[in-house]
Amino acid sequence: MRRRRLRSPRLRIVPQRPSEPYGFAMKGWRGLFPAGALMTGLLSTVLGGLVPAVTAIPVIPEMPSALEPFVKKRLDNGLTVIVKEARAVPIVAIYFFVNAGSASEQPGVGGLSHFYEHMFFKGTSRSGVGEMDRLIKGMGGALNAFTTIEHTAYHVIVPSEGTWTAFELLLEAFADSIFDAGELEKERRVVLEEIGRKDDMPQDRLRTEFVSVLLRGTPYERPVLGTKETVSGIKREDMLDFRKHFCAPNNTTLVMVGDVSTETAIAKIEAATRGLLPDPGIEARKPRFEFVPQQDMRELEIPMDVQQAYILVGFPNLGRRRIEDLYVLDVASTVLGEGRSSRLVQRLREREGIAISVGAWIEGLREAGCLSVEAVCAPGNVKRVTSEVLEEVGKLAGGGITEEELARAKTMLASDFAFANETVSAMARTLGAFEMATRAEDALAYVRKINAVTAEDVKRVTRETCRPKACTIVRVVAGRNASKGKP
Amino acid sequence: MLRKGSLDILASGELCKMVAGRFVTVMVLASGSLGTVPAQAASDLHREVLPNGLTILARQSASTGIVAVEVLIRMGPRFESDAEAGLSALTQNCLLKGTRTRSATQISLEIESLGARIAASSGSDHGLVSLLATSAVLDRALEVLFDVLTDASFPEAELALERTLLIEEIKARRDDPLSSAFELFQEAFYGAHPYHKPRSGYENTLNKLDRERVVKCYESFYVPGNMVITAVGNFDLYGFLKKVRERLGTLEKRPLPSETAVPAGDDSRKKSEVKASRDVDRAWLVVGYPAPSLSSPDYPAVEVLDCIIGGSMHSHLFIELRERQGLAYQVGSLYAARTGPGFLAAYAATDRRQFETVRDKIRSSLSGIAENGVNEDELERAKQYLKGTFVMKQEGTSAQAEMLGLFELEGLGWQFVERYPQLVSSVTRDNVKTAARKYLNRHTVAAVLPGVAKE
Repeated sequence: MRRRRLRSPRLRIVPQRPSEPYGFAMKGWRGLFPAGALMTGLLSTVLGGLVPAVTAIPVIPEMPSALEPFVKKRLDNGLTVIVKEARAVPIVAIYFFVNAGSASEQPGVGGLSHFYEHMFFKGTSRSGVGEMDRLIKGMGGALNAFTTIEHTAYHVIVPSEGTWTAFELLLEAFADSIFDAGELEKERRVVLEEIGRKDDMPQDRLRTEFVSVLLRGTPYERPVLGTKETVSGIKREDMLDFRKHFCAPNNTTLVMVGDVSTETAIAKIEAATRGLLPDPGIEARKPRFEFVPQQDMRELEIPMDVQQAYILVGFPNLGRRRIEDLYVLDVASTVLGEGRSSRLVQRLREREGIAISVGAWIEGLREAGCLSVEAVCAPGNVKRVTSEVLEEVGKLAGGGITEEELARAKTMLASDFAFANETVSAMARTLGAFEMATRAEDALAYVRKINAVTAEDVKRVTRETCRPKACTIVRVVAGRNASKGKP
Repeated sequence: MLRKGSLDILASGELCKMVAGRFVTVMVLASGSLGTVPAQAASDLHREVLPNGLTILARQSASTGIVAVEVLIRMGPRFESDAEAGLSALTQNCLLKGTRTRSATQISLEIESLGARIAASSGSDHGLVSLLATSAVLDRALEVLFDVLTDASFPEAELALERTLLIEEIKARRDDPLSSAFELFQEAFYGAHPYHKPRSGYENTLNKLDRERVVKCYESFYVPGNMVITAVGNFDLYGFLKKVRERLGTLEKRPLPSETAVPAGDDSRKKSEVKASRDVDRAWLVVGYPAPSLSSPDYPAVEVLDCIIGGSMHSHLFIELRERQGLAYQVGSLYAARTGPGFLAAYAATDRRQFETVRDKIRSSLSGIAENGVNEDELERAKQYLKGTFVMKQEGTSAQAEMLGLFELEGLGWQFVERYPQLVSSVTRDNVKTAARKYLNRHTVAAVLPGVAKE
C-alpha cells in the first residue's frame, strides 16, 4: 500500500502528474526524474538579497546530485543490477522493474500485466498466500507493486537487517508465483471492482479516456487496468504466458538503494539470480508500431454526476523517439503551467479567477508522448478556459518566452529534482525508470540537459508539436453517468 | 496495484493519525516520500522557546542538499463557531496573497525564481505554512516566509478571488464519492461538536466572512505562543536561529486564541446512519466509531487496533472483505487522532447490492475484536509494521519537520517521535481489547449510493 507522506493529502482537484493508472511512464519527465543535478557547466547567478521589484532574477543553485554515486552491472543472464548506497538511514528499498506493461499485452487480454501484478504476492510453491506480506510486515517493512503502460514494478522497503530476507522473498515471487486458481478468481473480483471504482472518480475517468483518444491506434490507448470484459476473460495460462514472455532477467532491472554495501550486495544478487535464464526472444515479442500524431482536433465529452468540469487538453508528440524534445517540453510546460508564477495559473486562476486549478506537464513513452494541460473549473467557464489554454499554448509556439521565465523554469525543475529524490524509495524509482527509458546514467544528466534548453528551442518544439488545431480535448461534465452498467 | 487505497483526503491512515483531517493545499508542492528517523541522538535537535513564546525546533543534516521549514499554528474548526466555518481555511488560502511590501505575484515570483516551494494549508487542528528550498537559497526564501508570518495584508481583491475559488473547491470535492462519504460521516458523527464542519466551511458561511474577520483571525492565531517553527535539513543552524530570533522574536506576545464552545449534551444532531444518492457506479461507505485524542494514554493501543483492523494487507477488513469474499477493492481503515475527540473509521467501495453486507461485516468484524480481542501473531505483526513504517515516514525532510512540529504543538513534545516506537511496543493484547470495548460502541455509517442524484 502506498503510504502517503504525512503532509498535505492532495485534493484531486489540484492537478497532479497522474500517478495512476499510468504510473511512471505518464508521470512526465519531470515527475520521473526528480534529482539533484550536476551543475558543472552551468552559470550560477547569485544575488545578495533579492529586491522584491517587478522582476526577480532567478538563481540557479549548485548542488551535487543525490543520485550519485551508484553502481550498475549487467549480469551474464542479462539482469541489470543497480545498487546505490545511502547510509544515512537504516532502511533499504528493493525494486524489481519488468520492462513490460499494458502496451505489451495482446488486445484480448487487456489488463493482464496489472492483474498479474495483483497475483504476484499471492503464493509460491514455498510460501502460502499472504505469507510474504506477513513476513515483510513482521519485520517492519512494506511491500507493494504498480503497473504502467510500459512497465511493472514490484518492491519492498525494509529496515536494513531484513534486506536479504526481503530480497529472497521478492525473487521467489518473481520466479515462482503459482497463480492459484482459487486466488485468481477472488482477485479477479477485486480487479473488476477497481475498474468500477475508477469509473466513479472524475479525474481517473478523464485521464483514461484522454489517453484512449490521444494515443488512438496504438497499444497505449488501452486502459492499464483493462476493461471488465477483457479482465473477465483472463485465464491462469495467460499469467504463466506473461511470466514466460516477459519476466526474463534480460528484461528486468533490479534496483537496491539504502543501507547496503555495494560490493557485497552485487555479489549476493548475482549469486541468487544465477538460476534465471535469459530469453533472447523478448524484444521480438514486443509490439512494433508507429505513432502518427493527429492532424485534426479531437474532442470528447464524458457525462458524470459532477458539479464542476474537468478538462484535459493534450498535444501529441513522438515521445522518446525525439527524446531531446522532451527536455525542451519539460521546460515549456513549466513556463506554461507549473507553480503559481506560471502563465496559465497567473492568467486563468489569479487574474481572471475562471479556473479552480490548472497545470501543465508532459508525458514521454517510447513511441509517443504529449504536453498536457489539466484544469478544473465551474461549468460556465469551460469554453473560456479551453480557448485560453489553447491561446497560451499558441503564444509559446509564437516565441516570446523571456529569459527570466526560462531561467526560473530551469531552477524550478532542478530543485524539484532534488526535492523528489530524497528517499531511498524515490531514488530507486528514478534510477529504475531511467534505466528502462534510456539508461540510469541519464538521470545524472537531467539537469544539465534542462539547463541547455534555449528560448529558440522552446519556440521550435512547441510550434512543431503543440498545435491548437491538432490536439485532443476531453472533458468530464455534469450529465447522466454513461459508464454505469457498461461491460 | 495492491491496495491502491490512496485517498487524497485521508492519505491511507498516516495523515489522519498524525495530522487529523484534510488540508487545503494552496500551491502544489514537490512530492517527497516517507522516510526514516535518522540514526542520530536526541541532542541533535535544538529546541528553543523565545521570550515571546515562539517555539523553534531545528535539526541539521549534512546528508541532504535541501531544507524544509514547517510552521504549525493552532487553528481550525475547533476555533470556529458554526457561522465562521471555513475561516481558518480562507485565512490560510489568502496568507500568501500579499504582505505590506509584497504583492501575490511578487511572492510567487520571488519564491519560484529560487526554485523553492511555499504553501499554506489548514487541517482540523492546525494550520501549516511550509517552505521547501535547496540549501543555497534558504536565506532568501526565509525572507518571504517571515514576511507572510508577520505582515500578511489580505488584499480585498485577492480575498474575493480566494473565497470564490474555495467555494468552487468545495463543490469539486463533492464530485469525489469517497470524499463526499467522509464529509457526510463527519457531520453525522460529530453532530454539534465543532469538528462536524468541513475544513473549508460552507458556501453560505464563506460568503459572510469579510476581510475584517480574516484579518482578525490572522491576528488572533499568528501569535508566537500559538506557533512552532521547525527546520530540518542542510542549513547553518546558528544562522537560522539568529534570523528567527531577529525576525520573529519581535512578534508581540499576545493571548492564545480560545476554542469555540462545544454545545453540552446536544447529541440530537448526531446520526447513526446517513445516505446520499449520486449517479455513481459503486456504493461508497464509511463506518466510524469514537477514538481517543492524540495525547490520550489510549492512543498507542488504538494505533495498533487500527492497524489490525484495516491498516495493511493482513488486516481484518482486508481479509474479510477483500481476500475472502472479493466484496470490495478499496477497503481500509483510518484513525483520525485529533486534539479533541477523534474517530476510527473503516471505509469501502462495493457493489450496490453488497452495501448492506459490507456494512454489517464491518460492524461485526469490529465488534468481534471488542468481544474476543486479537491474537498474539497479529498483535506482533501490527506493532512491527507500525514501528517500521513510522520510521520510514520521516525519511523526507518535510515530513520529518512536520511531524516534530506537530507533536511539539500538541504539547506532547517533539521527543514523542522517539517515544512512539516504545509506546507501540508495550501495547498488549489486553490493551487492544480494552480499547476496542471502550471505543468501538457507537457506530456511524455514511454512504454514497448509486441512484438518481438529488438536487
